[in-house]
Amino acid sequence: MLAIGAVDEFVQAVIQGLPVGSVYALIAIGFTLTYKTSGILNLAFGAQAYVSAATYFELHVRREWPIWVSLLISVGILAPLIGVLLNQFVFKNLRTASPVARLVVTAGLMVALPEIFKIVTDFERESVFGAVGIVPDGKIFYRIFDRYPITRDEIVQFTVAILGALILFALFRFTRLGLHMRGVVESPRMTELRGIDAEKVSSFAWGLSSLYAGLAGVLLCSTSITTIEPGSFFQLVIVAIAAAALGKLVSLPLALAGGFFLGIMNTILPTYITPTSIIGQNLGPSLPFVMLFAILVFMPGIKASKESRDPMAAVDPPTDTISIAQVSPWASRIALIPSLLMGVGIFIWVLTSADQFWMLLFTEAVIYSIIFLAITVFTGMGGQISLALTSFGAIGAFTVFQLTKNFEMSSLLAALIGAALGAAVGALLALPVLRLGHIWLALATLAFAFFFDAVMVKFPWVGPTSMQTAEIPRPTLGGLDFGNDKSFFLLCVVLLIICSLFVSALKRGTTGYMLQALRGSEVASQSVGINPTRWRIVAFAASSGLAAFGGALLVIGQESVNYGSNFAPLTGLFWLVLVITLASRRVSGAIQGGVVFRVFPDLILIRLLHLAPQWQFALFGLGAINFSKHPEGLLEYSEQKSVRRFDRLISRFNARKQASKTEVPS
Amino acid sequence: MVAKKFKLLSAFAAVALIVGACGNSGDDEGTTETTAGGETTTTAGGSGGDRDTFVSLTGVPGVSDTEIVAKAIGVLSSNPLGTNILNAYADGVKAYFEWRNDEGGIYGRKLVLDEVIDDALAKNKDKATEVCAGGKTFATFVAPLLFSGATTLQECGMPTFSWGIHREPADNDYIFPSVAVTCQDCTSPINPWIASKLGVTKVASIGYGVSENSKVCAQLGKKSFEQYTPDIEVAYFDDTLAFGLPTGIAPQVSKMKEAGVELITTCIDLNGMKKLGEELQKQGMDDVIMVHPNTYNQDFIKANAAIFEGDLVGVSFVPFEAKIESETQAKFLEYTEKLGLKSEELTMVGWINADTFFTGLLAAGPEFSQVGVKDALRAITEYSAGGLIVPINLSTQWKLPTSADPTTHGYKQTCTNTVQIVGGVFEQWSGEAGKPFNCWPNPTDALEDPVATSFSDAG
Amino acid sequence: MSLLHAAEIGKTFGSLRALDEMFIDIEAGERVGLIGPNGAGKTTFFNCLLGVLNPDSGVIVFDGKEVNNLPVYKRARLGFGRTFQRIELFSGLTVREHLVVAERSRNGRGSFLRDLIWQGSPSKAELAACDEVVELLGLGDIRHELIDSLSLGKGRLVEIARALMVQPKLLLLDEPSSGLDVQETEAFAEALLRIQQERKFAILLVEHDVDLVSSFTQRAYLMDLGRHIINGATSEVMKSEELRRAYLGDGEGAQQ
Repeated sequence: MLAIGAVDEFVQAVIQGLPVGSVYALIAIGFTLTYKTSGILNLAFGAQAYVSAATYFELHVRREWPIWVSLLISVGILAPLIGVLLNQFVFKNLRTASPVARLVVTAGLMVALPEIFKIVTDFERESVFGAVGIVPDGKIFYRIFDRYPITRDEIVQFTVAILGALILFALFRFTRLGLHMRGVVESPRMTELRGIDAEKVSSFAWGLSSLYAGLAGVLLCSTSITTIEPGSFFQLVIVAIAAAALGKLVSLPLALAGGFFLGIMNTILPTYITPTSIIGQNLGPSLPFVMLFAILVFMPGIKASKESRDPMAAVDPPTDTISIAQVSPWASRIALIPSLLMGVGIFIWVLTSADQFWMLLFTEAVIYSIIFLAITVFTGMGGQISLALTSFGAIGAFTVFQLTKNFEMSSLLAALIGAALGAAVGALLALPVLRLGHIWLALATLAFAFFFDAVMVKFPWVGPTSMQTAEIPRPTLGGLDFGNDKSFFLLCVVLLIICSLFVSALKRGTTGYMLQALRGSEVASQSVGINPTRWRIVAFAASSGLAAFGGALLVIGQESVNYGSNFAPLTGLFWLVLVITLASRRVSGAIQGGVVFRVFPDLILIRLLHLAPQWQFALFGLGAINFSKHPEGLLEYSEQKSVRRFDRLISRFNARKQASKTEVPS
Repeated sequence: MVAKKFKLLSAFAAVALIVGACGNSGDDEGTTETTAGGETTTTAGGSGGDRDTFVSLTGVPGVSDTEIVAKAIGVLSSNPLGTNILNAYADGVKAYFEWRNDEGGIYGRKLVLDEVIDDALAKNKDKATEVCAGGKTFATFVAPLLFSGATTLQECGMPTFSWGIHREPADNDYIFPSVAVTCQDCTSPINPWIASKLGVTKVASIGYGVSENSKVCAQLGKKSFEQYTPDIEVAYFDDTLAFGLPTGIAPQVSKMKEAGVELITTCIDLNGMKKLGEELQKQGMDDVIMVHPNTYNQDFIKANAAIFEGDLVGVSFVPFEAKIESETQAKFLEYTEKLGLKSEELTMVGWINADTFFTGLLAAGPEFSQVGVKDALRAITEYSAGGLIVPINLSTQWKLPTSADPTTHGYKQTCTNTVQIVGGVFEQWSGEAGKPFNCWPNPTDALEDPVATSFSDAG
Repeated sequence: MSLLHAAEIGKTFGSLRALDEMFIDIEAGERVGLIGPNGAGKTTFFNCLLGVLNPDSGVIVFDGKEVNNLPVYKRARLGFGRTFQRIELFSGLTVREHLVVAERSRNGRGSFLRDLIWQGSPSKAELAACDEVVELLGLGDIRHELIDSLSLGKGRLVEIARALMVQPKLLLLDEPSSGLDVQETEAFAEALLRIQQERKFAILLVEHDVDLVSSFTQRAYLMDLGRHIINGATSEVMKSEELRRAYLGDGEGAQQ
């Protein structure tokens, strides 16, 4: 009797988990397909899913077109079309780009694509909830074994997921096309030597994987997503990444299995674990991230498995590198003058004429610059990507909150302690994940960020509870009260200068040298006695400490924690892409990033150009896409141009001086 | 601001705030002060010579010889709920202004809402700062999901009228929410009474885990049953659900089914309610009644009529379905029809906020100022927007009541206005004809039957 | 006591036995060659000595210390230097900066904290040491060039220079002539010989270029299919029957 009850409960839990599992599985295999056939971790997968889902909603729900027509257009035509276009204009150029560049571009797309769609179609003119699936009367349910209900929508989801996986599996296993698709990723040139049009194969691959993205998007709407907002799609993609990671992003069967596993775990856990226990409270929401992290840290063979270079890469001529050393040092200094002048000018204006609003924006721009210095250190110098910056910012913020609330400490001192804590946590986190490198490291940090958001924030010793006011006092120092916005602005500027000097010192010193060597060649660095782990941990800890310090200052400035507005995990992705697009290698990149992030939208887009908020994202996305052409950063690129211009002027000047000297009559 | 996109995922807090405030499952708490003649003092509308007196004023931000200018800030883009918030709200404010302007305005000036500002979910503080710094606004109407600009508006002395779902107005005397800030740790007799009236013996209480407010709401829900109706068993409790229930709620519903739950009190948003409703149907629990904290949305209910049949919804004001003797309500219906507006929840909230503002202007006299309006309002001990809301004692109820002291800053009575979903439309359920509120004394020791009450203008 | 003593080195990859009881002994100051046909396991053995790979069995003793479990960078600090078959230079750094990095790594003067107090830039002494090696390898003209713009031949010289900065006792060269023409190879060998005479470190040379091995090394080890075949004076090994058999196969009917 008991046994039957237990079996019954288990079967029920499994069947209840299948629909969710199908959704995850479908996204996971689509995602894997993309990576397998292009070598690119397509963060914009969710965005593509959104576009198809929104189109289907527009056609079928709003305009009441028949299902099959809406489906054909939104999934059959639009989705692959977007994929092919993206390949043609964006991804083609990324094939030989660094992992950083690829991540930046796809992140830019992830942000821009939905917004461009919204602008073009005016999608949000009416409310966007009420999504339905692709089956008529999808909510009608049947009973398996006359006992377990399952709706039509869910049956379709499950079927499509399985079928989709089988088709792909067959494609890769049994057809030449599948072989070609994989070959093109390894070495486009080699496949061309065999008479295969690599471009065509590539286009097909992108069209196919985009079709899957569109299909996933539309199917999601039948069960998981009721409001068509891009954020919900990305949330599911993150979980699917965890599933796909089970197969190291290249195994379709494992991705499928991973998706179903996570889906079923979603229902097994609440069935067997009481929701109020510690495990029940925290494992449920964080399972995918914990799993992703565990896979990345413990699964053997993950480390940089896709780092193999194209054996035929030597055929391409080397890219044009800018020879900085050949430029006279005066040229670099002169080129700095315009930006310095502008900086000083802005500084004076803010102090004297800015009203409360602009004071707020510029103060926060300065604070964000400090946070962005973390990117200068870890990405600019270390060449790696951390997507956990928001969590470290939050660590700084929460430290200030707890210390000022419980010990009545000065918030400035608390901020310094927060920075130290951030660095310590960073060092701890770095130990298991630094060896992963590039995208895997990025994913591990992303997993951490989501884990932090889902679990850590809720603990009363971390974040504020609803009973507490989340207010934070401004600090006082000696006789100075930084409650005054102007003096706080000055304080932040001083702190920024200190942090910039700090980062510059690192750059010019041993840390900078060692990190650059490690970037150039890890084996060679090791061969001259450099310990990679030591320097990378140093870089990561320094970067985390800076982010924490900035996060602390941010909430001191706002006088309230505001976790949701300031430190959402995906915001960190946005920061990263912004700073890298501008200039990640130099301190000025961080400062310009802060200004662009905080001031630019209000100043230029809203005041000058009167654009709706959506345009910010479209522009941001376009900027990120352009990054692939100028991987050193857009601002660095334009600065280099002006440096060289000055250099030419100087050499012409010197040449004339020489000429006049030789003309001196004897 | 640029990164608003991503705040979506952490807008759990946002929605939870909504849930939290309406969180004690649709209850309202209000004061009735019966004066000697058994009449309640009215504050809506206003007659009298004062109103047409014109005095030229200088140095008052947003006030010219012909206009009194207000702005509205709220969430439009990046709204995780997908419902119409800012536009509906602003429409309500504008409709009210039109009514009063048609009557001749006030102090020789017209009321103008000259800008409707989208705070894109996360930029509320920014926009508030901008409005304050601009110096051209007399009052601000706010309908955000994340009310980060509260302290800014308070500090710049801006009379602010807000959608009453947040905690931020507490301790800020310049902010006037449509519902006074409620006690965050007090139990309430409302749901226990509803359950006992319906004759159920097993209930469930659920909430989202990500947001503190939703969690607390669910926990208080459970405690309320334990306190007031110990014979009703809380057979299932879960305060760890994922926001929006993206992965469904099947195993939880199975457990509820197993436990024999007959009524579910929830602290979740409307999208979550829909999924819960669908799952209940799927598992053959059609008869289970859900108590919704905040799905007073006609379109949504109509679109999902079958799922929500028989459910109860708490409303923070007198619902459109209940007619009371109230000029304010009558004018609302008249003007929304005249301007072709839908009768939505947020439109009514905007209307109520605008009425509070107007009341303050009237009370402040022809030589009004921002401080003057605030002080005048804070002298009023009973404000009920012409009977549309449970009366608020504006002089005391701007601080947070607690379970230790629920009365000094709380409502005199705990009231609820409940509607039921029948055939896809709302029907008045609580109270009696003409007296839509059910009220208990605050605090309530033992559960008794409530008193059907109306706060409308007498006569 | 040999400078480097390795014995019973075995390594298996899946079902492939890449190394089978391979051994080697190198004395201080010696020039030794390691030759064998493609697939012999030279690179695998090389990598085991350096620590890039971990052998399944065997022992490696360097300068009296057992180094089996030491990671690559620690072995480097003990006195292993190396160059790479496919050049591994630090993109974005100049020639001199390459040497500075190596020198800094060797003297351990640099640290995070030192950087913070602005003690991070190269000192005069460090720069002098680097310049010395720059001159030694005839790289004076290009010392401020970014390595990205250098030819392969120059790049190899930079690698040597960089390796020299760690003051190696044993320098391992991985097919240094690949990609170089005859003249470049000769110039390279000549420069290397000169330096080696002066600084007196041992060299282990893995090479295909028979001429280079013959002219440069004193002793040679021949290996094939993961096993040691013969070793001895280079001239002897070069003339040996085993070498012919290893490279040209068991020749009935081996034609010209």
